[in-house]
Amino acid sequence: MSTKTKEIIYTVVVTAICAIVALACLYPLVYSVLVSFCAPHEINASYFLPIPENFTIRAYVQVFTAGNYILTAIGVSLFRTVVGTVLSVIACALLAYAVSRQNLPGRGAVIKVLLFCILFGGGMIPTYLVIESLGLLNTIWVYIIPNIMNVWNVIIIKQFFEGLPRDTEEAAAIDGANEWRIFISVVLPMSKPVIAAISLFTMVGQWNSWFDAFLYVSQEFAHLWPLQYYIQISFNNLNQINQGKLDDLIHMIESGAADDMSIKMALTVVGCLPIMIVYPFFQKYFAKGVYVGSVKG
Amino acid sequence: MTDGASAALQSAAGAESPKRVLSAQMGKAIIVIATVFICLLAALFGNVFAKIQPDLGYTINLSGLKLLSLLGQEGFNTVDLWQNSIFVPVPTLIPVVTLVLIALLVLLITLSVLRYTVGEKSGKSVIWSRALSIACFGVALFIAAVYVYMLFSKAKAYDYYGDERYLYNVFETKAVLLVYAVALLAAGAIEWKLSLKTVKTVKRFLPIYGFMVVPLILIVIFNFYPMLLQTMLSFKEFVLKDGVFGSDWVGLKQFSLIFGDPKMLKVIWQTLYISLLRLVVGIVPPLFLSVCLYDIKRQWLRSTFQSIVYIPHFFSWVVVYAITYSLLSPEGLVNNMLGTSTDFIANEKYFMWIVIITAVWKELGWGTILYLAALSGVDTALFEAAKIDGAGPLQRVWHITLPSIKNTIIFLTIMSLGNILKGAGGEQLLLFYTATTKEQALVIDTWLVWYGMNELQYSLGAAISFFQSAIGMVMVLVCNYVSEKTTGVGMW
Repeated sequence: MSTKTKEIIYTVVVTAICAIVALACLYPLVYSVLVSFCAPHEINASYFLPIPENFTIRAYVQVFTAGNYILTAIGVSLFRTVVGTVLSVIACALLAYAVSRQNLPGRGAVIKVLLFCILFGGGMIPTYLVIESLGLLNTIWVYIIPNIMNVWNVIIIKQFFEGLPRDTEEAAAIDGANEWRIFISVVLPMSKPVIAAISLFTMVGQWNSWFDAFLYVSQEFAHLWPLQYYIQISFNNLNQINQGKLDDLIHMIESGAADDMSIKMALTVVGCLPIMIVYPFFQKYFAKGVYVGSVKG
Repeated sequence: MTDGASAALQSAAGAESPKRVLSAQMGKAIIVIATVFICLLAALFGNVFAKIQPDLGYTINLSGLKLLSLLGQEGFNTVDLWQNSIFVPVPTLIPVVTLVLIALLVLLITLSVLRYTVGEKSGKSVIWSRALSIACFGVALFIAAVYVYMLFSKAKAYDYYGDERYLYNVFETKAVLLVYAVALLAAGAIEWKLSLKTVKTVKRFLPIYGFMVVPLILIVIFNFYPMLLQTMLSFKEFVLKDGVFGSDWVGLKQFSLIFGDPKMLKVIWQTLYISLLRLVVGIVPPLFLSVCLYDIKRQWLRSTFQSIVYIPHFFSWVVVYAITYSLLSPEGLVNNMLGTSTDFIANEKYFMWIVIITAVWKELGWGTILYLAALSGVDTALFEAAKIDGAGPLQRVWHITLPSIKNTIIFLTIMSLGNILKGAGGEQLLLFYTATTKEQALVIDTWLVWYGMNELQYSLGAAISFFQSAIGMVMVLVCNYVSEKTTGVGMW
């Protein structure tokens, strides 16, 4: 075999592997989107991908008309995503800016505190006790306030700030700008990539989160549950829950017992739609900013 | 030292004009006033008194302000409900003594600063201010000792108006720690004698400190305070009525319960097992994929593949579970293709495979990022040279690509070894388990939810997460050290 054919074979194999992985990543998504548009008898009519012959949005109509639970849930999810992300990014960037100042007295101590927070965690039960004693249980703020500070994000933003050239800041300081102005109109605009990447991670984390609802918000406060938790319940624990507030959901899923897969998939698609919408816009930022961000895994 | 240098020093000392000294004094004065103010606020609004209503299960707390107003009336009989609290009862006379001591501390600090401000830097006044500062420290340390005693001893009731009545800490413990920290800081600052330079720098950075206040308070409340509670809880036997601080110390009982119980040991082993599985699939397949991605030379193709394989990382586990369910449920796609109706997810045989494969699906693409970042720094001329020397594609991978990301691989492995007790993916297991596979999904994180939280075994739960955190910390530090020694790559 000549060198040339070897090279060609290698290129083909490598491309094929990547293509297979990419297909494997996309296939389940396409499958579930298609299922959500199918009539019940069409789901299992063909192999691999169900082809909706009569393209129907019946499942979505049912999801949105079965009651107002889903609108409330979307509202809660949007609230926690928007408010939680804005507050979190501002607070983390402020602290990061403060500790990125090299000659700040006490800087080393604060950084040590942050690193210790990363190394040693508080654990589920003590955190629950603290949140309980602060009176945050069963309120919407339990999604926001405990999540404002993320130590990893502080460290990542700090690292980025430290890499920025100091000349502009000093020039602004000489021109008489105060610290707040320097932070807002000099440092932040220069840090767009990292701020965008951190915002993306925080937003995705907030939108995707269901565990805090599971721990801190009880069934009597089901109107405070975010969308992800409803989706989880519609799949998993349906028979364990029989509260009045969930009647809409239960009724909807039970009434369509035969074709509930479409409805479930419609719910799922609604649950990940915002991420799919946001993803392309943020991609260029996280391609740059992510190399720092991905260290946190 | 030359004459010139000493002359310069002399003139520098001379330059410390009275005005500048005054600004240093101002700094101290501000600290003192702030301390006094905070102490006063805490004394007035912190909880001073508490009454446990055993039958109702709530605590009545009284602030200092209310206490003062009540003293003028008919005593402590008329009390309102204030709030629930997980904090503790303490012995009777201590609060009063402590209140007096804190007042004394404030007085001493004030005096010390006033003396120092008025006096010159010589003779009697210096001795005075030193003595006062030392006295401040003494009082502060005494208060600390009192609080340590209160934390370690469990207060018993004293009868008052016929029912059980406990005196609280002078303040609610939260507030006390805060006030105490501030007071000690102030005393320490005075003892240390803030130098002119420090005062100036601090003054310059005042807005920056302002930026830090709210974030740091949040970190203290939501990161540090739980750590403190966790450490205490794991050496205590938590009783709901007594709160964290009031429960009895039991030493290492919780830990001996954990390590003496075969069931718990099995939970720990299972955690290790699943974590190790995840560690392997979290490192090897992404490595393979990134080598492939790196060798696609067409830029557009490569970036398209990259954007596609990153997508699953951004989906929640709930959505991943939903998709898995649609594929593997009895009426799902796989059963349709096989013509069967097996419930794969609920089947013990397949459960762990499903968990691991979905984890790979979700994180495979994302895992390539660090490798690709490392590869982007490799000089492409190396590959060209190897090609000219007759190296085939596989040889190039073996001799150039892999060695250039060797450090990243070692670093990632070591770091995930450090996370071994936390890496079992409790969130995913909580979503994927069913009644039949609950046994297999039992790792530390799920144990905490199912038995720690739901069965109120707070102390045992805190002990096991203390163990988890402690091992995690030691592992990360050791592994980081090893990583720095062997590869030169460290976490910070």
